[in-house]
Amino acid sequence: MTPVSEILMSLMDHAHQDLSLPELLCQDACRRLPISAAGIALMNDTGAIEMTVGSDERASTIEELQLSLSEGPCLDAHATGRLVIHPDLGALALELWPLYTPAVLALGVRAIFSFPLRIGGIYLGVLDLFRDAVGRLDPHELEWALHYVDAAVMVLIHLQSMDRAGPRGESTTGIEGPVELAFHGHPEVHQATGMIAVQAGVRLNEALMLLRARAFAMGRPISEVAHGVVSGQIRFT
Amino acid sequence: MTREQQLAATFVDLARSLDGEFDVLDFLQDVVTRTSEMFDGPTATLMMSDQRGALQLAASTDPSNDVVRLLTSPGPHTDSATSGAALVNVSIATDGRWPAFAAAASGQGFVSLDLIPIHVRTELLGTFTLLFRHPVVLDQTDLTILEALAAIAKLGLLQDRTPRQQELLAEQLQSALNLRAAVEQAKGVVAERGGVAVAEAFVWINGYARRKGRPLGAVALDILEGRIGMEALVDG
Repeated sequence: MTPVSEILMSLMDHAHQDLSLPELLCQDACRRLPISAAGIALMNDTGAIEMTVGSDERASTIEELQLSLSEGPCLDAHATGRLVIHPDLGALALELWPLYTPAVLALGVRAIFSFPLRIGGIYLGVLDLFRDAVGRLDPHELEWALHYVDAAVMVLIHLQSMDRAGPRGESTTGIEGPVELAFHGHPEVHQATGMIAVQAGVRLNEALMLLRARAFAMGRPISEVAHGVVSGQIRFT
Repeated sequence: MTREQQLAATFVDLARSLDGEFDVLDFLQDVVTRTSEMFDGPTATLMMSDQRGALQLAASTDPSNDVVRLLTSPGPHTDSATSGAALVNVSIATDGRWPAFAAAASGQGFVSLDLIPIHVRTELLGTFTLLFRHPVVLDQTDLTILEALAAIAKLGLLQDRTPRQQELLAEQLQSALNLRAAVEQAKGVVAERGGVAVAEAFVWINGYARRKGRPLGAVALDILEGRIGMEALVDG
C-alpha cells in the first residue's frame, strides 16, 4: 500500500466521528508528523481562500487568523503556488507578516510549513502545518508531509465530486471515499485532464472528476484511461 | 563557439538568472538544451526527486511520453539512484543489465546512454541523462563538462549562497513539479483545441514561450486560465 493510500484508509477508518475529511486529515497529520497543529484552507469557486478547518480548536483559530488579518504563509503559498517554510518564525523580520507574526507567536507557534494544494492549474487550497518548537522537518518528515499534501489534494477533489452529487445526495460517481489518483510519473493523466476540459466544456477540476469517474466505472486504473484519452480512443463529449 | 566557451557562457547565464527573476522550470530546461547542443544533439533529461521517494521529470529536450515512460520505469537510473555511481558510455543493445529498459530504449532508437547522479550530501537530488541515437564514446573531458553541467543544475536548485538552502530546495523542487503538471495539462488543452497530438501542442506552447521570452510554466498557466488563446499561440 502506498503512503497516500495508507493515509486515506486511516481517514476512512475514523470517518464515523462527526468530523469532515479535511479535519480528520489534519488530526491524522498531527499524529504522524512532529507538529502541534494542522489546518487546511479551502478555496471557493472564484479562487479565493474562503474556508478553513483545523486539527483542533487552537489550530482552527490559527488558521482563521490568516484570513482575518489578510496575511500569512497560507495566503502567500496560495498566491505564489510555492511552499512557504519558516522553521524559526521568531527569527523572521516582522516586515514579512507584521500583523500575523506576533499574533501567531503569541499563540505559541514557532515554525510554520505551508503547502499549496494544487494539480497544475487546478487550485484547491493550502495545507498548513504548525510547530510549537523551532526546527525544520527532516527529509523523512518532509516526505510524509508531502504524502499528506497529496492525500489532502485527493480529499478535496473527492469533496468537489460530492458537491456534484445527485438529488438524493448520493455520489454520482459511485466512489464512496477519496481515492488515490496516480499523477506522479503519469503525464498522460494531466494531458487527458486538459483534453477532457475542452471536450466536455468544463473546468480542469471537473475534467479530472470525469476522468476519475470513468476509470472507476470501467474498473481500470486512471493512468490507463488517461492513455486512452490521449490516444484518441476515449472521448468525453 | 567552442564547448568550453559554451560552458563558460552557461555559467554566466546561471549567475544572471540567479540575480533576476528566477524560474526554476525554465532554468532546468535551459540546462538540458545547452547540454544537448554541446554534445551534438542527444536527448538530455533532468529527473528530480519529488521528495516522496521517486524521481520525476523536471526537464528534457524530448519531453514526449515515451521518453518519460522510459526514464520512470526501472532501468539504469534506478541502479544509479541506489549505488550513487555514474554510468558512462553504456551501449544499450549489448549491455545486458537492464533487458526491459534496453528493449524499450532500442525501440525508440536510442543506442548509447550516459547518466550522472546528482547528490546533496548523501541524498539523491536527481539524475542527468544523455540518450544518444548514434554510438558515442565520451572521454574524460566530455565527462568533466557533463559533471560541470550537472553541478550547474544543482547550484540553480540549491542556490547555496543563501542560508535557507533546505527550504529553498523544497520550494524549488515542488514548484517545478507542479509547473510541469500545468504544462502537461496545457498540452492536453491545446492538443484538443488544435486537433493535434500532444507533442505538437508542446512545440506550439514552447515556441510561444520562447518568442515572448516568458517562462514555460507561466505560459502554461495563462493557457489554462484562458489568457492565451489558440490564435496567439499559433500565429505568435
